Amino acid sequence: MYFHWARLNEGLPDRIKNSVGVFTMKVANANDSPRVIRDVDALFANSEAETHTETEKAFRLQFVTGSSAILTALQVVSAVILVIMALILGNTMAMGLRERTGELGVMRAIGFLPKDVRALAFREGAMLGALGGIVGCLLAQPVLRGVGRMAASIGFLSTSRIRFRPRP
Amino acid sequence: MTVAIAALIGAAASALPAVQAARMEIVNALRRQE
Repeated sequence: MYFHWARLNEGLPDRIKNSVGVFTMKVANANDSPRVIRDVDALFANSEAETHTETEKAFRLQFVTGSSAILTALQVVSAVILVIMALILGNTMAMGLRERTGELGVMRAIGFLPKDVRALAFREGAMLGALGGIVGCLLAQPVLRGVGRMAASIGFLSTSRIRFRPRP
Repeated sequence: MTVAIAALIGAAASALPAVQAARMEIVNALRRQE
C-alpha cells in the first residue's frame, strides 16, 4: 500500500510532526561507504538534527544484539518447559507401569528380579525420551527455516543468512 | 547429542516409577490383577 507521506504527517502528534527518523541511501560503490558515512555526519554536525549514519548491516545487527535479552529469556523458558516435560513423562511412565502391574507381578513370579523390572522401566523411559528427541530434531529444522523465511519476508534480517548445523 | 540428552531426561523422569515398580511385592502385584 502506497500513500503520500503528507497524509501520514497530518495524523502525527505535534512533537514528531515534520520530522524524519530514518533515511535510507544507496551508494554506487560499496567501497565508498565509509567516506559517505563520514560526509553525511559531517554535513549535519552541530545542527539541530545531528545524524548517526551507519551501514544497513550494522543497523540490522543492532536489532540482533538488542534481542539477546529476549533470547536469554527464551532459553530460560525452554529449560522450564523441559523440566515440565520430564515431569509429564514421569507421570506417563508411572501410569503405564501401574496399568501393567499384573504383568510385572507375573514377571517377578517367574523369576525376574526387581533390578530387571527397574531396568525395563528405565529403558522404556529412555526410549520414549530419545524418540521425542528424534522427532523434535526432525521437526525443528523445517520449522526454523519457515520462521526465518517468514521473518525475511517482512524485511527483518533479510540480508542475514541463518545457517543450521547439527552439533556433533 | 540432543537425542542422548533427551534419552537421559527420559531415563531420569522414569526413575521414580521404575523404583516404585521394582519395590512392589509379587503377591500384591498379582492380587491387583484380579
